[in-house]
Amino acid sequence: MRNTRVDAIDKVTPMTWGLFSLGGFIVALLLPVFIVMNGLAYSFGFASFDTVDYDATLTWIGNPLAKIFIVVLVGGSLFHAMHRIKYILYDFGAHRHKAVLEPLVYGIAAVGTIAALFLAFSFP
Amino acid sequence: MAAETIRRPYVRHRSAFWWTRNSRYLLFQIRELSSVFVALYAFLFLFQLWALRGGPGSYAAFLDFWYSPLMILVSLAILGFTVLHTVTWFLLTPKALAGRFTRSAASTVFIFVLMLAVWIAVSYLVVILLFTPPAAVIPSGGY
Repeated sequence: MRNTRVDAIDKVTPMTWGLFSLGGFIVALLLPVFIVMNGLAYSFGFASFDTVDYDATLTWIGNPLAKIFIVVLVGGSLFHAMHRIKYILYDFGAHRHKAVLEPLVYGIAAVGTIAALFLAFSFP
Repeated sequence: MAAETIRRPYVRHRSAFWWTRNSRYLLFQIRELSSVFVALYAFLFLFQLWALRGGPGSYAAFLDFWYSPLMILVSLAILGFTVLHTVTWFLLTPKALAGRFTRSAASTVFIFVLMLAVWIAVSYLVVILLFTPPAAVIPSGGY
């Protein structure tokens, strides 16, 4: 019997590349400034301690814009980075374990994004 | 009716260290490695939010960890890799755009400079909108 099975159209791969690309812009535009403001600004003496302490951070996260920022930043970072990490692992010879790696890397990204959503909106 | 053939997909042999043979491959792999630092920062930030939920004592312990010399170095390394990502991402932005104009050398430079300007504007907006009103962090010696 001739092989008549038609491969199903792959809808997952274009979606993961799309999230990788969107995440790439989010990381490029938002992450450097956030790394500076969430730590290095105080470490290098550009900000005082009362701008980074418990009360200040709670006030900061009380802003709805900050909550949305957190979810976008963490989700974008994880879907971008886990996609690239998958291809690094492929480059190291793990391309034989695609069936295990694909759900694992995108699963980690999804769980991290849901955690960010839950944590960010758990604050008043 | 012919018998069905059972085939295994052909997997070409490749050394796990192919990228060490050439400086271009090495630079490519360093750029790809930036993603490990990006993911690390996302998880560190989730840990920070978790510590914040734990109350003042738990967050004070987090701040001791976060501002330890080791973690400042880790933050600097993450920032370095993230900036490498930003620059290489803007360099390949024109390559991802369709059309003849965007493929020319002049437009590559133009789009790169444009993206750098957008980056500076977005960073400024993040500082103004998210940081200044509640937790006045002014990065130019305001204290």
